[in-house]
Amino acid sequence: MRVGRRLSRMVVALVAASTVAACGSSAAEPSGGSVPNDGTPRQGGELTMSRLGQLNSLDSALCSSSAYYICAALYGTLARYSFEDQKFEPAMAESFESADGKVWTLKLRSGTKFTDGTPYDAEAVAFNWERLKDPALLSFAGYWLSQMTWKVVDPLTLEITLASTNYQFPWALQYDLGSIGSPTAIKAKGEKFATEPVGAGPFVVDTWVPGSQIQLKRNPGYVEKGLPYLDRITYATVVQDDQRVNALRAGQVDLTATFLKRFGRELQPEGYGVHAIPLFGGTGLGFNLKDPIIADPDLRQALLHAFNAPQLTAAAYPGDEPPDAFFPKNSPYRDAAVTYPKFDLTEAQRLFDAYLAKTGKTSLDLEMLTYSPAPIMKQVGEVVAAQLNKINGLHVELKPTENAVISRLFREGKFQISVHASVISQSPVTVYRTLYTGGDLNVYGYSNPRVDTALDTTIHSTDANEVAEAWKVVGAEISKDVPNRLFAYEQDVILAAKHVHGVNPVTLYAASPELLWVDK
Amino acid sequence: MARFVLLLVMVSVATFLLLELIPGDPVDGLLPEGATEEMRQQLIQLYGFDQSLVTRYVSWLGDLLHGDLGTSWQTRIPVATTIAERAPVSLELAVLAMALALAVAIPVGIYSAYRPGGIVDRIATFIASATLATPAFVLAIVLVWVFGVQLGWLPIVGWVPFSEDPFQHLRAVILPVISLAGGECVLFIRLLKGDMMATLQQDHVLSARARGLPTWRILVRHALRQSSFSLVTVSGVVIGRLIGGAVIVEMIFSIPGLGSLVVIAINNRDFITVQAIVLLSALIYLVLNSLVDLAYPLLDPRVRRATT
Repeated sequence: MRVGRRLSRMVVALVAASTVAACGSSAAEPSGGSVPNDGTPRQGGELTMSRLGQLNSLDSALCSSSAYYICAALYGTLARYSFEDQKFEPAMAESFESADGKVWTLKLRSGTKFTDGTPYDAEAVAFNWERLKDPALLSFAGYWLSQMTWKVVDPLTLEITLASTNYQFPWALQYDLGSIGSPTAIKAKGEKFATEPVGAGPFVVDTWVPGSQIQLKRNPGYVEKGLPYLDRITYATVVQDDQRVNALRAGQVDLTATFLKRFGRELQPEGYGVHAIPLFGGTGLGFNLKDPIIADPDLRQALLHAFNAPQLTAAAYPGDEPPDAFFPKNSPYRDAAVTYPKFDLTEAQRLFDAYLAKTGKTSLDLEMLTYSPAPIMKQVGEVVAAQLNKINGLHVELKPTENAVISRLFREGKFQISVHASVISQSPVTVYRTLYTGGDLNVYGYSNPRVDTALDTTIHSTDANEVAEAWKVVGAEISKDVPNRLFAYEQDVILAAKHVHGVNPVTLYAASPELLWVDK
Repeated sequence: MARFVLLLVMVSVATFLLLELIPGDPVDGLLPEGATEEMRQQLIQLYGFDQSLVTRYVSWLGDLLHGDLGTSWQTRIPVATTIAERAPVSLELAVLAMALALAVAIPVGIYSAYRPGGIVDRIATFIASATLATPAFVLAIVLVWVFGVQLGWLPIVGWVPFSEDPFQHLRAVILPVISLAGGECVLFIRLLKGDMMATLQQDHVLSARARGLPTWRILVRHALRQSSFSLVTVSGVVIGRLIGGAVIVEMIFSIPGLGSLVVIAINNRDFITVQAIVLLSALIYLVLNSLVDLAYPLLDPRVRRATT
């Protein structure tokens, strides 16, 4: 299957990404990026892509993976990850190189200008990054900013020093730090910059109806020669997944995105392009290992044996593969010998009874959080709670909770079990942040020196085999320790009409706008 | 007027308190993934969440009295600017939906009352039963499937401002307006039919018939005005609800109105925007109800005489 093939390619890509970054991607001459191999690109034409939602602010400070679709269009990105070639390539930057993964040299392309005519230079990059430190801007770049310093070497060069070696830094150049706004416009417009953005990306705003659609037109001065291919691109908001697919079928949009794999299965036989981006992690049961009750490994094993993943998958994710380990079956990083504890209610009861005997308790009440605004998460939580409550003496109460409250409870470590999406990213950096001891996204309080060492290798090493082995260790240890028991592997799916080409899928639900082209 | 202002103050207090009662700190909803505690504290100070509820309310009210609705915590765009962009869209939808609902409901309601049990009445009753049992969003989805997906006649994506392309704008409003008008239309028909049937039994109508006045004149001039009390009262409530509360239909058709804005603001815990929209909705309700009160004497001279 194409999805499976892409998954294999994806995990290999993670190694390739670090290798390429380490060797330095240099482009002597400005040129178009790596175009997905589906024909000879044509100039001109327009395209409409429907999306789940849109930003109400176009400020470059809010650029991150969730805003890639618009940020890449208006501001460009310093680096671009090519899904087809499985490597980072220069975009707004001419190159980004590092000999040791700690000190990086970022070289910008000569002659690049913002659409207001001011230079897109090292000072502009430095200004933007300094600006992101303002907490009122709510930038996602805090993780990187807290561990890096930079200095302007010359008008086209910045030297960036990370707190420690990290060959995955180019992900930041695509997402959180990758979009640069015109300093002149930022200073002059103040808060109006959110609605009147000035960048140097492949497109500029033509018309914008906030909350509904934004129409962009080609920036003739875009620095990558020959790009973008399209004259216009429109992003239209369509909240419902069904309606986005209906609009695609009706020919009212040319490109759409969803996280529901079933739409890919439905549309591929009809001739639509289905571009799935396998992601790390997925949705699952998270355990707070710092909670004194949940910390007991026997109790967790009892809960894991009571969890019936195939039943849940059949009910909530029909047609999907029920996860039985951190990496799926077709992943090269999977250690076949290590899987999650299998469903075995008898064993679950035995372990639970042993836990009660050990602690002198006669019964146990546990709380399980789930996101209240998402009906599917509540339904999944109800099924899981019912499964766990088949253990005699155990009462798991489902607590549908508002997102912000869950965020706080996670941050404060005040939960026991949760049903939530974990990791879910194309970037291995997110895995690092989520599973490393003390990681800023490690809500589980998980700590395993073997995992830490392996995760260090994934960002410190440029040896593909070494990195691959490290991922195997991570997968095996996580499947054994189970801080998060996945019950759905997640992926973003980009669905394209037959006349749409050049889809370079990017999380979340986006495609590099400058590479898209259409048959005339 | 004093009652009017008092009600608005009460609404503002209630909104402020309600949002305060929602579990969780507003800052938690604003913080990006992986934000540090230091960043959290900076935001708390920046937006004054470390001050007492009373202090924050008084400060917000003071700004409000100076015409400042505040700045969105999420987008950093002035709330007044965002509302000014979106309110006309909701207003247009509400007015068009009301106009369509009344345009259908008045003739059908009158004729159903005039010929109860007739073919028009029976069809109207059947449609009414089906429509009343069907939420607006279901009607919207059916319309999208039939006219957007299957027939491809009307757009189901995107909102085109009138100033940009009047024709495309009209095409874009057809399905949302029908979705919104459907349920209200049925309600109006039932209200009007009930009142009309009672009016048609009154002496002055029988007298008009005995005098040989044309039927249309009896129905429109003598019966309709007197039968419009319920319709006018409910219309005032409905249009207020449509302006601020066409949430689901706005979301389905991706219409940039107040309804979809309030959903986004709530999801983002952008309470300053929510407060402003709730207050605006309350103001619209109060104004419309006042207008409804003023309309009664125009509809029936007996009310006018009683009030003078």
